[in-house]
Amino acid sequence: MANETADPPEMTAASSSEPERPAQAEVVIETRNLTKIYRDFWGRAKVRALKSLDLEVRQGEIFGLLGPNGSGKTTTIKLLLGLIFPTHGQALVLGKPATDEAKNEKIGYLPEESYLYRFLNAVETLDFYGRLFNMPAKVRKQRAAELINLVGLEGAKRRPLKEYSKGMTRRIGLAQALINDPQLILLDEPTSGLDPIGTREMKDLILELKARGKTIVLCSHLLADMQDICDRIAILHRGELKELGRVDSLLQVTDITQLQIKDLSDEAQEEIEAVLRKHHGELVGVNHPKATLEDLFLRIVRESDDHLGRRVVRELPTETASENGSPEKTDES
Amino acid sequence: MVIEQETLPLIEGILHYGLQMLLALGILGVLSLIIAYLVATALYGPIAGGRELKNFLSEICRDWFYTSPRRVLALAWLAMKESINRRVLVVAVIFLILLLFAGWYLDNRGDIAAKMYLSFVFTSMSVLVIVLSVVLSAFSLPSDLNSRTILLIVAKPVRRHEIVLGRVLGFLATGTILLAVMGGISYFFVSRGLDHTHVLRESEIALEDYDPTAENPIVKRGRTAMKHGHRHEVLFYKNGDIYVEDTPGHSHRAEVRTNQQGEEIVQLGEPLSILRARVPRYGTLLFRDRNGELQDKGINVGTEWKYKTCIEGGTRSAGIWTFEDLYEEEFPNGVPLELTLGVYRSYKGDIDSGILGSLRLRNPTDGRTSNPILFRAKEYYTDRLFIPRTVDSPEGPLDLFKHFVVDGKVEMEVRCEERAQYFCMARYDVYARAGDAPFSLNFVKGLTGIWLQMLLILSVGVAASTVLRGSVAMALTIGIALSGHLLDSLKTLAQGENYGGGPLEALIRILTNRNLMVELPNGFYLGPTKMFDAAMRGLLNAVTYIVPDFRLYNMADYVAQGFNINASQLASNIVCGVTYSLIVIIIGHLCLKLRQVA
Ligand SMILES: Nc1ncnc2c1ncn2[C@@H]1O[C@H](COP(=O)(O)OP(=O)(O)OP(=O)(O)O)[C@@H](O)[C@H]1O
Ligand SMILES: [Mg+2]
Repeated sequence: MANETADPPEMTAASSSEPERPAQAEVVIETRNLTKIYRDFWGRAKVRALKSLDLEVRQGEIFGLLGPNGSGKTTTIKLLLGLIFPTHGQALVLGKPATDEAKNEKIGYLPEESYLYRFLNAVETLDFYGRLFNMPAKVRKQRAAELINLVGLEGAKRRPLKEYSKGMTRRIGLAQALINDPQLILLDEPTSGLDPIGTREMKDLILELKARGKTIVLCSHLLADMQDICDRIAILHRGELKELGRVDSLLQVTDITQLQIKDLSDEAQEEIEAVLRKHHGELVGVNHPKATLEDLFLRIVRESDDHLGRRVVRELPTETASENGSPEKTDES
Repeated sequence: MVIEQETLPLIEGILHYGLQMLLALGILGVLSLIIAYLVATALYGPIAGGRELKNFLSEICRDWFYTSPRRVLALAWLAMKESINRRVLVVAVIFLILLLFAGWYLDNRGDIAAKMYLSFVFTSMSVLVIVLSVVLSAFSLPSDLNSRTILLIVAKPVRRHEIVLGRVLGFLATGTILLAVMGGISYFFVSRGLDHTHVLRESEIALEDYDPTAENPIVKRGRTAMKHGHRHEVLFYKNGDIYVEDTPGHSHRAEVRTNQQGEEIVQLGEPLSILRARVPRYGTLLFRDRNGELQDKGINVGTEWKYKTCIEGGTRSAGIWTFEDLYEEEFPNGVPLELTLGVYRSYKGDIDSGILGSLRLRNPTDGRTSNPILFRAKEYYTDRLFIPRTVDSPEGPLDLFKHFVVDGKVEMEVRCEERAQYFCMARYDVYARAGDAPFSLNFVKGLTGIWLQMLLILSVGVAASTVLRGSVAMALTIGIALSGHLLDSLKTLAQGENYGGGPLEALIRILTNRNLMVELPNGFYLGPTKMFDAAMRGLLNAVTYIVPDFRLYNMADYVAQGFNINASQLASNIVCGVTYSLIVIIIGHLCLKLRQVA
């Protein structure tokens, strides 16, 4: 167990005893049977990008969307924003249908690439998007200054975006997503192109936003970081949901038990060993050790590649998740 | 030349031009509603489909209701920035260069110089602005969709119509600036191009034989040298007044001075009223034939344009204009008339002196008639005839407004007094000239016409580009603009009044090498061909109702020919144009709402 040392038992104990966020926290995103089939000009199905996705994201959590390239993460986010229309099913965002523009008032969106106007500079960009939120000039000006400061573009704020490096473009993209102080923030690969310091800052920022009660949905391929910051994750594979649940419970390895006991007497230890011998076990330590998200991800993708087809994922109620270990799975194929 | 178009008061104008359009659009709207319902039914079933459609329509209304001016302005600002970024201001430079070269080629002969210059600047401005509008509007949204910059716009609480509206307004702002700059340059160019003076030397002045008993006889007469393609006749009166004849379409103020060589010369100053905006008061025209019967039309002598018909000289036949609004306050000294009668000669006669005509005033209530006021009508000239306050009649001299005009209404009867010669005329050939309006204002009114065309094209282009690719949207916009300009010929085609039949018949004629006039031989294909062509004509007919009537907005002719653009006519054109583009913008809104942007 690679993270045995990195993840001391106290921490594990602390996180599992942490009071669960009440399950009745307000639902921010709800998708039902959300399906997207991209069609060609003649209406023939070209790509089944998303198949029957059922998701719920609650107020105040950081929700990670994982999956290999082309698994439908961006498609999901675009559906949530109403940029594309679902083939079947529906999505409710902040209590409104995804196609209702009014919901965007409280949403921030950082797309996977820069879709900013390259002839504008940073200040003009933020001012422009601020105006789209119908913000008065004074508020816009103040917000723009704060955000430029936050993303560290002070020195380049008057240069047109076409002169920006990839990471700088990413930073102004993030600033743009926060201009309206959104309740729900959708980040599509926020760290792509950022330097290590930028990545670190991005992580801190996301956690800070969470602390301020924002809901964050993000996709990323940086699994270690996702593991650190996400409350819950969903793993998509070829448009299908393969795994869904709390990160800490998903990563618990239930077929290994770890005991780490302080001040255990020799007799007691012998006794325990005797019990274990009786049951043909070998003591390693009493604990449920943590796997890495990377392990989980690779396993699921490998399994899914081997057994293509639907796999019903039912998330357990969060209260019991930490006791019961990994969620139930059934393979229908 | 005289304007052939009608000028109608505001409400009537809107009713006249707008009603047809609105009717067509209404029919179109109902049709598309039915189609939309059918589609919705196919997708969701009859009841749910109806509900979806209703929701969609109410969403459209809600969008408009919650339009945010700040967002629209932000998007307009972006579009403006984008267009400036695309260096549209180069167009102004092109225009400047065009003008520099045009100076060499423009005919500045006195009588037509103003018309030439004005037509030239207006035509080039229209062409540049229209081309620019087409390119700007048709490629803007598609390029945004291509670069996906639209994603971030749509992810904000922007309503789809605000995107369309913002685009149109932004480009309109750029276009307006450009038009203002070009208009300013044009004004300068025209007034500079027409500005000239003449000098009359001693040697060019001849003494006149004059009647010493006359009150104020002409004592000397001179002719300036040819300059700017024209010369002026200058008359010197005994009391020292100098009169410069305005046959070239303008006059000058004359001044006697001594030049450096000590020679006494007559200096003619800057041209007067070379740029003018005449305010015409039109009447309605009826004809009386040689038997004294009233007719709608005169006789057709075959050579004049179709819209002018003729009266025969030396007979009772006459053209009778009824004016409804000549009031004493406006014409305190009498009524200046301008007549542009066509002259048709059955024998040549004296070409120089013109054909003798007469005009009689008649009181429309008691039928009292004045003595004939004689004039000579020359071909292709606008004759001026001043009706004084005191008019001779069989009862002696009578006051114009007391005895002939009743509540602004008076009849004027024009006859040709030379046997076997003809006057040809149409309604707008005779008008009372109620003074001049400021030319610069008229110039701006003419620019407003171009501005309206720009607005229409921008709306059509942006709306088309919500669903079509840039090049296709451009082609469609150009098509609509062209058919709007060529509406007359389109209508002819649509009504089957042209020779040679519809498209399929014409194709058969080409393939079988038959000219336009011969009958097609009977064959099995004749029936289907006619049917197909009839269907095409129906389609074309529908198109002629939907396409905006660009002739309405092409007011440059008025400016060029020196007629004031009627304010209410302008207002009605503005109302029509703005309404039309609003409707087009709504269509764009629907299209953009129905499509996915990613
Ligand atoms: N506009 C489109 N037209 C056709 N197919 C599309 C379109 N957009 C996405 N797809 C397809 O849908 C599938 C899912 O794409 P999506 O962009 O959601 O992947 P992703 O999970 O975001 O991948 P990545 O990690 O590479 O960003 C892919 O197979 C992709 O080819
Ligand atoms: Mg993606």
